Amino acid sequence: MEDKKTKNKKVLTKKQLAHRRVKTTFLSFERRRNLEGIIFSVPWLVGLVWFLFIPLFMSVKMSFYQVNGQDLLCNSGLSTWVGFENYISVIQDPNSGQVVLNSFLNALYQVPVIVGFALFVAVLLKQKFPGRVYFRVFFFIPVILSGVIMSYLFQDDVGSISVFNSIVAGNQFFGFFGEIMAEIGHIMWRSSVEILIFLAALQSVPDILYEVVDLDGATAWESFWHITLPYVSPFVILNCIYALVDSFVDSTNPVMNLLNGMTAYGERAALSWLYMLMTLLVILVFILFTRRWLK
Amino acid sequence: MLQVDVDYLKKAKKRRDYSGIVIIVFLTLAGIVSFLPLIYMVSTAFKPPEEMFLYPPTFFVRNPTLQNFSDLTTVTSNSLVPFSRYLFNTIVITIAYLFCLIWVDTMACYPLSKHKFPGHKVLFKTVTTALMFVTAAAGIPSYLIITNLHLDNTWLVYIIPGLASTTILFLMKQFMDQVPNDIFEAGKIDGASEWKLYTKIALPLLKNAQATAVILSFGGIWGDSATSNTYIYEEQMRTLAFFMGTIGGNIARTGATAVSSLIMTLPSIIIFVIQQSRVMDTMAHSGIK
Repeated sequence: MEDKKTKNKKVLTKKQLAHRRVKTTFLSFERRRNLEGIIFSVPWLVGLVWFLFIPLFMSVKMSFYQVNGQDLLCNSGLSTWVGFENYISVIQDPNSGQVVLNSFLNALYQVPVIVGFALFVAVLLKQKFPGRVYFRVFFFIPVILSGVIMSYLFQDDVGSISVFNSIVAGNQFFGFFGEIMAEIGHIMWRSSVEILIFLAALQSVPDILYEVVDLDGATAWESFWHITLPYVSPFVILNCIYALVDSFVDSTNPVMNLLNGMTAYGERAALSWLYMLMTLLVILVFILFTRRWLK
Repeated sequence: MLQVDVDYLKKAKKRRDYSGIVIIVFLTLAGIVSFLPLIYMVSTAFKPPEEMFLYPPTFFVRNPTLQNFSDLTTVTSNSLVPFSRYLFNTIVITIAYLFCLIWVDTMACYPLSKHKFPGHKVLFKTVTTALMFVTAAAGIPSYLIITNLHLDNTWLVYIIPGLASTTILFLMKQFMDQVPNDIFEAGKIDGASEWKLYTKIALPLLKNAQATAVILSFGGIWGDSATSNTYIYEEQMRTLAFFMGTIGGNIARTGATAVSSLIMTLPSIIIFVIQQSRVMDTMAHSGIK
């Protein structure tokens, strides 16, 4: 009985194979593979184009038009072309210029601190000590909580200040150290994804290298500079870029607050595109300078 | 000679023990700092009203009460739509969204990483640049698109716009790159179709990535009140997060708000605790490597 079944199956598969061979003459193996690949990613692509690219394209268009709420609601489309007027008025506005400049200066000092701290913690978390799994959880939990806590506990002004500022503001429990604590806490909350990326990168360093230098009598400090850092240097750069982007588009960024509060839609679109171009420029410059370590 | 070696080994052992303590102390301190908001939230939920408005504010609760919880129940029992309805909406939406998200994004990452169809490089570059786009720029246009598609006032509006997530795809693709091609080639030689390769090989190997994606996106969809606010006009179709958001904004209800924020946060923590073992050592033993 069992034997018969398997025999039947074999015959079937052979038939199918022959059938397939006929098919491949119409559609070469390569083409078929490509087609299948594209079909697999179609749902995602449609979503990306429809809900990200088209809106972005429309916002570019809006930045060159005079936009008022009436036009948008009536679906009548954009009518008054104003050229670069929106851009000029945004650039001439001293307030938005100040906010954007501040956000760039913030990023300038926060990014090195975040990446340095993340690398330090990741190296510590890589060590073998009791309970390290729990410590890893500690450092990852801000990723899940940040959005939720931000929006519920501090409803009145999400975006303008960090959670830590609101906790320590005038709090007896922290006293004088409040401000410093707020800054440290904010940076810690921002560095959890970077820690995760570094942890993953550290897993790729072969353990045998550490054993070798340990036998040669190297201290932990030396083995960090000569083994760990060269191995993770591409990830240092990756993390710098991630932290830069994160600090530019973070919801606590004052620029985002400014953008969300703007009701002149044309100017709003113009400002966000200017801001994005500046962000890209900063990142490109950074990549140009660090390219030789990115290998 | 031997003597020296033994001495060295002893020293080395001592040094390592010492550093272990330093590591634990440092990490504990850092961990406590990053936990402060959570502790603060829990302690606020138990504060009686007079403590809530103390200036300067206190960090820990002095006379813990359960009054805030009973406040919340009176608020919820007076709402137009029963509380359970909001909860039901949120649970259904969250599950549907996470399921679709993982389905769409794993399906897209598989060919991106393993098929190398023409243009896959350009596509992936676009994805990585798209991570940098300021989504605030697209706010108004995406409102127009969603209303033009008549997605507003349906449950689909919660689910569909967020499916093509660039962050999740990026994550999935990084995981997929770690899976050796040989496994898929072996499957193909055994006569598996592409769909079978995807469901029987790619999906099980991406389990850790799926867990990570669930953890990362859960908070967003569970706490999504903006969609209810913007696109949904019927109270029965709104989410728990929206309802919890309406509780606030009234001084008499500050306590109830503190409790509701605690309730909204708890599921995220539970999900994380359940899935964390998968996520944390994900990269370490993702099956192969």
